[in-house]
Amino acid sequence: MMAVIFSVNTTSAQCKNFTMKKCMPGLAPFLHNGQLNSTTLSPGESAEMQMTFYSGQEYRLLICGQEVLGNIAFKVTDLDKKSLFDSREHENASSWDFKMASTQQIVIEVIVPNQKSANDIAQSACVSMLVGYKK
Amino acid sequence: MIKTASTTKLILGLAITALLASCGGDSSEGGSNSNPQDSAAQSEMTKKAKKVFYAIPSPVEMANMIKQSGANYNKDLLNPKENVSKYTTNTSMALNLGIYGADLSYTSIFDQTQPSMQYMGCSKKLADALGITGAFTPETVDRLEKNVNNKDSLLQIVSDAYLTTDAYLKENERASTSALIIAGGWIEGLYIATKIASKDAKNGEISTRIAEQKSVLENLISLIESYPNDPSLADVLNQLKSLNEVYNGIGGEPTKTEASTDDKTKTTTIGNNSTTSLTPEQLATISAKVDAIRTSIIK
Repeated sequence: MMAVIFSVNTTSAQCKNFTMKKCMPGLAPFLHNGQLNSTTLSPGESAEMQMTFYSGQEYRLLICGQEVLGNIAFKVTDLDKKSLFDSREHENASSWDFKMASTQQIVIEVIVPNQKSANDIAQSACVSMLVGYKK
Repeated sequence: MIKTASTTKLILGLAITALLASCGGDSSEGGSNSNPQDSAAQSEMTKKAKKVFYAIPSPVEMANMIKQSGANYNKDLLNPKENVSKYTTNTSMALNLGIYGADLSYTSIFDQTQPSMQYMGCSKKLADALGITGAFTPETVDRLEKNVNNKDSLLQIVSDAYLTTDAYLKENERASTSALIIAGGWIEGLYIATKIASKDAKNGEISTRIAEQKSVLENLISLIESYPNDPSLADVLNQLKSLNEVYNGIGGEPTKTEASTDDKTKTTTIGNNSTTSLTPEQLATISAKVDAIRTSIIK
């Protein structure tokens, strides 16, 4: 039977509301960077975010996804794809703090687990990548 | 980017159509008529391209680093409030909303209450003209007034207003306008930093921060290039690329990145032993280029 992908009716507005209400509070006491980086992903899919972290600063990464997607993993690498942190090695943490000894370009990859639902219908839903820095 | 309700319906419609087509029989399907090359091409076409975001440090963070460097407040560096009425095109309004956002961040970090209120007013005026709702509301301005002497609250309010702006624009399929605002904010932050560095050659920290903008600039260019169909970004993209040519000569040898993790504090420390610095000539060249770009935006 052909697998069919349905959206869990996640519109832009719903993704934004989900992020603001359910995800953003997790950044405190870090101050968010003023950008909303959210997208709709399906099981097995991934998204990336590239940014510069400054030396002497401390950051919090918070990956937030709607429950239907399960435990979303995230990896932090340098531009050469060297792994610097993998949430799957730390109890699938959804957020982590980073202290920068030097300024660095980093890549954050979020990975939605490839899980099958009972009726073989893959559901896509909202995933947000939030960044806060310590004031 | 984000699927809208209409996109959802389209996907559902296509899926149902595909299902119905697969139920019908094709009399020619006796033996195998499928071409492996067609199947591979189809698979490639239907594979979704991975979504890549480019996040740019906020003007508040840049203003904070400027203050941390030991620099003093200088109101003369900021875009005069009176200029706000000059901006009538969507492009100039968006860029200068970013510029005034950076100025507001700078005045907030340096506890300048009256200028902060005034730059909030400028930001509100441009946001309203751009049709951005929910970000710079009368309630936001009121909150700012009540918290103007509490820096932490002030910075939170400013950051929230710009986050709401970004979210609104993306939700309404105007993400490229958000990219212009982000570009304006970054250019102003760099402009302020270069002016401070030009007058204070001993401020090594701010000079280093200017050098570090090389990687941020690359991400900003990538961000803007992700909207190839919006001609309003073309000018600022060309300007940023010309600035990037200046930055190309800066930077040391590639270094090895190391990371160490503390599970108790849920913290990873990352470092690469690199140092980035500018010669006085490089600083002067970057300053001149940034000055020219900023002037073309605020005039």
